[in-house]
Amino acid sequence: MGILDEIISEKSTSDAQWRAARLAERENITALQDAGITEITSDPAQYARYLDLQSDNPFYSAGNIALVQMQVQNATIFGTAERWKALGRFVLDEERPNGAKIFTRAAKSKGYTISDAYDISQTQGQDVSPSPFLTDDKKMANALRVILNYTQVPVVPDRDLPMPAYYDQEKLQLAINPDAPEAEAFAAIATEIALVRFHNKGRSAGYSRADCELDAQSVSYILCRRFGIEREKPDMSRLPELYEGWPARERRQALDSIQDMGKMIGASIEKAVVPQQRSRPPIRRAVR
Amino acid sequence: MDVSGEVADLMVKESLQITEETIKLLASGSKNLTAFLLALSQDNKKLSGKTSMSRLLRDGKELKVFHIKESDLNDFRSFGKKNVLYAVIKDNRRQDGMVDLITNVDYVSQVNHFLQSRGYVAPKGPKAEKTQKKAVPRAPQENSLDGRGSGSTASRTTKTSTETTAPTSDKPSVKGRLEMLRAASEGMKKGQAPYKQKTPPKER
Repeated sequence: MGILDEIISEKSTSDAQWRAARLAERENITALQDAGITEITSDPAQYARYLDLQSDNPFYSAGNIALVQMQVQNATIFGTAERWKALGRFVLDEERPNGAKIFTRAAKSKGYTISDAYDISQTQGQDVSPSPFLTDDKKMANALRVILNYTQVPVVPDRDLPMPAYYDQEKLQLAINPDAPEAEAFAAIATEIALVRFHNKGRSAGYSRADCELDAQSVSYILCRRFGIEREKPDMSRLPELYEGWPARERRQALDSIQDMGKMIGASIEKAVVPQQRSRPPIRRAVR
Repeated sequence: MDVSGEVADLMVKESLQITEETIKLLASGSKNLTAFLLALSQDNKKLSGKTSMSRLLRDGKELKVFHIKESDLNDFRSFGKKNVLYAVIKDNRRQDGMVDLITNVDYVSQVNHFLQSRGYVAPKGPKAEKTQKKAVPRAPQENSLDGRGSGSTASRTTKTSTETTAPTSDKPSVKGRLEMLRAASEGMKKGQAPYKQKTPPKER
């Protein structure tokens, strides 16, 4: 047998092994993700931790949050090496092998690839600026204005309301108590807005406030934590019941929808609160 | 100068063209007529609403069987008029007031939607048992058409599943809640018009 034959056969064997290894890795990570999602949606303590991690990393999907939660004990803010580089930080050399596996979009092809994600504690560099906290009245007013813009039903003031806000699904209106403290009002309005969106002006046939309460409170919690507003954890007593019998894939989709809502409302608030910086337009010089 | 020859040529040419066009029109007309007659003969004119079993079987698509209350049939008739092609089989010996509703796979989601809105719950299939045995699935593999309508085909109805739909209990429906969550986030992505309260015109 010629040397070329040997090389070709060696290459095809090693290619097949490499492919099998990649496939096995992908399968393992998918299984880990499913296990994480199932655990999060079954155990209130894990769900609470998930909400914290999701609030601190609003742009990562629920699946990736579950992966990091399963792999890193006390994760807070995480990102890939490229993301940290863009934020002016770098991953410590000794921490390079300790990254958590997550799915990221492939740069050059369709689909997702497996990448390493690192917690902020595994990196060094510039301070990461968190989302703007709604500390002053002006920011809070802007945030409330933005969040109220997401309602699909009329907003009515009601000073006799025993709570800061309430969505009445019969009258299809959102009642708000104008005397409520602003932080409390923000948390309550965020919950009620999520319920409004779930009910979708009565188009959602299976809507029930009791069944959607946890999801709505989760959206509110994610937003409140992101913008430094204190609110208690959602009531998770019905968590196992709400997800009982759901396959992992659908549990993940439900969490993804919650994350999506939080991300979109949060991005709008951030845009309204942070002053927009305009770069100077480039000077056009006449060309001869 | 004598032009009678040219005129005669022109007339012959014109008459030929007219004949050609007439033949073309006749040919296309007869083609359409044949297609129409063929469709009539195959009874394909009905695309939604109540039909016969033979019409459903002729399609050759997989059939799904649902059980609904006879009292809900009128409601379903108005819903299905424009949405679902279905057949109803009523067993007079049956005492529980349920009838069989048969449709093909294309309309399963519409029927599920109707049943969900009427408070029927999806029957538990054998998959639920499987998930209990196997704590952690290796990879996502669930069929989204789990539950109602995923039973046997009508051609095999001798062994039709005995699954019956019962009015909803307190337990939330998986599909319903998931659809609601998805619709809410999708609606926000599409920028579904937020509610704008009318502001009174400015007064001077």
